[in-house]
Amino acid sequence: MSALSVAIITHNEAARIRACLESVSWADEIVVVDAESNDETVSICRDFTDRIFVRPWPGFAKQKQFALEQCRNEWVLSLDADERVRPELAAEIQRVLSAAGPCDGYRLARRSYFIGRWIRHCGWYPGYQLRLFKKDRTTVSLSRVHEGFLVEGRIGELLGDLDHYSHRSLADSLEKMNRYSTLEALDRLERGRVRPIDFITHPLSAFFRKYIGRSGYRDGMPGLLLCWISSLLTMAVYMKRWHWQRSTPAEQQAARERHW
Amino acid sequence: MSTLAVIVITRNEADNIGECLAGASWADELIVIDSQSTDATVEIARRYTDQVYVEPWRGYAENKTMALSRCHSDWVFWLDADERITGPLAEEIRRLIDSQPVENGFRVARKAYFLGRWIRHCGWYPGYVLRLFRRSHGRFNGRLVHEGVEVEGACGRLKNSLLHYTDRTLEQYLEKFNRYTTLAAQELHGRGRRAGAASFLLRPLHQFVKMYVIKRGFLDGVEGLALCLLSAHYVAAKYAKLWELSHCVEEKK
Repeated sequence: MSALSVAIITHNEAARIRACLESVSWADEIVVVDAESNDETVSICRDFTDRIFVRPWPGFAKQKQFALEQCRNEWVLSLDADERVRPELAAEIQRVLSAAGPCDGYRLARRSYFIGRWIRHCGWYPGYQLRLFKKDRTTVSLSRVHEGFLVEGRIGELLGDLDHYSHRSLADSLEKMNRYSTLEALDRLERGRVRPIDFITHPLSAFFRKYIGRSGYRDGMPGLLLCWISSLLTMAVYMKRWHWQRSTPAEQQAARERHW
Repeated sequence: MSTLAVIVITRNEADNIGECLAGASWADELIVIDSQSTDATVEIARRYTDQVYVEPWRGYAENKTMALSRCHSDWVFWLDADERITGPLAEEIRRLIDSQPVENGFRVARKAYFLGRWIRHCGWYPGYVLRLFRRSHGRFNGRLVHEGVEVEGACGRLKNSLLHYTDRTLEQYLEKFNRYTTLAAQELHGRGRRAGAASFLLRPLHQFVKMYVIKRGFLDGVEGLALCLLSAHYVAAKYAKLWELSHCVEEKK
């Protein structure tokens, strides 16, 4: 049986970290990298592990990379504090690690909870996440928004679900929308001039792609609101790009530095 | 000679407050109530007036009422930190209150600078707001958003505009968008209003048509288009949050 390390990065996650850690308490090792939380996060983590590293926030990718480096086992499961491993998934992971299968990494289906409902459509589910992998085959990608892991070798998929409690409320989702659209706009600043018509066409197509194309209508009002937020995010990306394209290089640089 | 007090309530307005107070330094009293600023707002404000008070945040109406209770002048002008009184407006106000008008309050047109452009349509301009009133005849109401002053008796209009430097970036705009729509939804919820998919879809559409077509937002260029689209989403967010309030119990996950 190969041993497993769980890597988690945190910042002020006192409200959610306990349930996350409880769901992986069966792992051989838990590594927590905390970005200097000023709540109870670290002391809660101490109930589960001694492998806690507190360091300043260097950006998403670098923090994930650091956490990965601290893991001592062959396999690593990278989790966010707002995720929980369901029991079926835990059993499956243990089975995979004991069987020494052909894969070097596995993608996990993730179901997300959104204002009172488990979202099953909207392009959110299964939303495979590459999270379980062999440590020595894995590096962290440096894109500002869609941070992720690059695994060299064969990738498989597991059947069990990861539970994701990322959106506490619409206000929380809109705050994330604002933050992500800024990061995405900065990432795509050089990709051609934005025209005003982009403010209309891209959000509409994002909405219909999710609501109709990915059957978002089957998720009721939460599905409708989710597809709306994603179209608003698309619009915000184009508007922010447009605004920055007209601002001075110094202003663009300042925005980059604020968000790196 | 009638006297005038300008009142400003602030929170983290270091970028704005200096210019704002500089444009109001001619007033007889200049009163700043600051709540919880973590930047240099208070220090900068003290360069312009001795009457800077740091108070806990109790709500817009409450903090403005507190500012009001510190004034002694005959007239009061309520100014926000992101607004500027221009020279001509200052002169007009001065002349007006000395002329012993019969009105107890005056509305002023407000011209907004949005993403680098003066917005002249969209229903934003002139968008008269009641800002100048006789201290003895005005009081602040307690609405959560767009709280205002209520004045007993007749109100007139000023000729010059107040300048409004709204959000400098879309990020700031969306942050405020989020905060205000939460408050607006709470207020609607408190009044027993409910929302479903129909109001979530139709009211934003109505808002867009009203601002962009009827109020001729298309004349304000790309900035006008952006403003009208964002305002439609603002209405959507308000009704989405109203739906959330009546359908979701607080999630503590």
